[in-house]
Amino acid sequence: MVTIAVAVSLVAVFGVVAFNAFLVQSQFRLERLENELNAQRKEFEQLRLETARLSSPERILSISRSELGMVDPEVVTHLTAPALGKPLDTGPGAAAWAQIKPFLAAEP
Amino acid sequence: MSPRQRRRRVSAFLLSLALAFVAIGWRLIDVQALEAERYAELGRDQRVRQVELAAERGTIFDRDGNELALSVPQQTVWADPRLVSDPAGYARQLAPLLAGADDPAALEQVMLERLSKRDAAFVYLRRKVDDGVAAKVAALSLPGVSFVPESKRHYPSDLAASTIGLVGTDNEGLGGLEVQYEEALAGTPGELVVERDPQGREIPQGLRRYLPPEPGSDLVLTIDHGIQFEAEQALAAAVNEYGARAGRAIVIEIATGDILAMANVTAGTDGRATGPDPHADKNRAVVDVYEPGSTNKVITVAGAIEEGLLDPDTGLTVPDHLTIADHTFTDHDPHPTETWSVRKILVESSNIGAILIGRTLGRERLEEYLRRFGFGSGSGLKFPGESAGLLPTEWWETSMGTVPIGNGLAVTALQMVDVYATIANNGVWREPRLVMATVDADGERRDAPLGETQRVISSGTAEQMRSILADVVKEGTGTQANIPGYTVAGKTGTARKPIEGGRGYYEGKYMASFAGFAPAENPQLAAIVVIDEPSGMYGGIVAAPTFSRIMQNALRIEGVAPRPGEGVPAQAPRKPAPTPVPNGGDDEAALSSPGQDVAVLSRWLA
Repeated sequence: MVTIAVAVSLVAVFGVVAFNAFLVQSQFRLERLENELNAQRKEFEQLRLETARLSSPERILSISRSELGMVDPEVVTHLTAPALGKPLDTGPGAAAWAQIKPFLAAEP
Repeated sequence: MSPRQRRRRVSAFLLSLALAFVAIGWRLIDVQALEAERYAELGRDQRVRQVELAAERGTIFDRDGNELALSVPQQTVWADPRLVSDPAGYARQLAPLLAGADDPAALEQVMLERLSKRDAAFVYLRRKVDDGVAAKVAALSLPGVSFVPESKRHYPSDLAASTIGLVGTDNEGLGGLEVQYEEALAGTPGELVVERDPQGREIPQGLRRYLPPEPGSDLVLTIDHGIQFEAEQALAAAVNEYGARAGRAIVIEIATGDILAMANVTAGTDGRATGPDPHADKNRAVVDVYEPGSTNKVITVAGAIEEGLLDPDTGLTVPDHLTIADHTFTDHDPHPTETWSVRKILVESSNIGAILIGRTLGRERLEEYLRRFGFGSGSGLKFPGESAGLLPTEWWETSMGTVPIGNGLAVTALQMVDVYATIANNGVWREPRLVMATVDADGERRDAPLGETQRVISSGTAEQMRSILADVVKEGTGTQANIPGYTVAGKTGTARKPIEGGRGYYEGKYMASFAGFAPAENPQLAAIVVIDEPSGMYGGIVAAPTFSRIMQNALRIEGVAPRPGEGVPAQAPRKPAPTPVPNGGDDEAALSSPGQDVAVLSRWLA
């Protein structure tokens, strides 16, 4: 009887110790993950800021003029879109459309 | 040793032992009972850390989701002076790393003072440094020097800077929309209470209480960053070209009252149109008032037409000068007394004609129309420091000479562009708005309602005014506001600047402006350009071309097509700036009275 009680006690003590060790490990892991999450969040915000800076009109204008040699257009040509439902591969605008199309998404 | 001596020694030992036990017992009672709470608190203080978690300030977007202001976590370097053994050495090592653009020697001195405060447990060394700098400081491994994360406000560009405003070191709004929407943007701070071991690691199963911060809401502005950018560029170019003191411009979407651009440019000390900190500048477009001059004549004429007193073709006998009380008002060019239509009076920007129309309308009705068009009251934006404008508190006899032509009263640029937006909007005034929506911490977007509306004049009167204003640009003083492919309507304004804090006007200092809308036959956008103290004084020459450039770009971005079949020059060809008018002759008379416009313009134009 005594032997059984001692054995149960030992198992219980071992269980408690093991559980505590598991808790400690989990706590450290949780803290590490939280730190990682914060670091990723911070990196996201910094990349967001960098994207906003890189896409600012001032920067684009400066690079387009000074590095790419672009100039303001003399004439802005307004193209009239063909009426909906008309085939795009025929008619006078077809050649122009073929040039424009590759630069657009799948629409229209 | 005798038995007696032995007994004495044993007694003494037992007594000592008893005293020791009493002392220990007393100490035990003291620690566990009498001072238990104090010792428990001291223990908690060593283990428990309570940290306020700053809420992330909301982002400010333009209408298309481009960030105009956002917050990014950064590191603040602080020190516990009690743990610093060599303040001078610390300051010497840290100053070059943390100085940034500042003077390292000055920063070293400041740091030395702070690190020498032996009674302090916390001093800032440098707030919100970037990660690279923080890493270099950490590599020094200086005992007592630590880091705490803090959010820093960034403005990726200077677009709409004076409208957006700025925040202070503690991220509190100090100006512009940053302070107007402080409550929404700031969010609610959170709190973290946690038990940590001496190495700073969290103690498992220890005390932990976490109240997450609630991020601030994002603002989605009505500003369009493309239109805003072009407005600022055009304004800066005009300010530089004419050596002006400052400039302001606004573009409004007529149907919604949405402000697509609100630009302010202040001439820098180096002669370029850039102030040292654009975010700290005043938003002059809504904060500062100016005498509008001839742009105000539309109210005089619209009021008279609305009251049925005359129509655009009604003829009036117009001399070239008129004396009211002790003041003689003149037109800019001498001309014989002639019969001019109301349309011609506005097209030629005749002061005498406008005064005669104002007299026909009468003082009470003129004042009523000024107020109905929004003068003397806020625009509804509730922008910090926004001015309601100034209307005469007392009407003198000469007031019926000055007010109809836009002198003796003061308005903001926003109030004046609203007048033209109202005419373009079939006579209905709409409250302007700068914020289109807010997005809360859960990502839920709440659209702001459109501004309230109020009918000011009938649609019939508005239509007649649009026709007259289109003629102003077609053949009158505003031809330089033309945009090829579009019909533009608008009015020039040139007014002398009143002496600040005194009576009368400065010699040679003018406010040149142009306000209008396009396309005249189906108005979509209204805009105003005001140039402060340009070297060429006339609105038609200084402000109208800038209006043209800004409006042309805005129409393109908004997808407003030109008249079918027209190729459109990218920018209306600019006439060279006129040389100053020589003394004498016609123009001397023009300069002698306020509110003059540009009949002499025709001489300089092709």
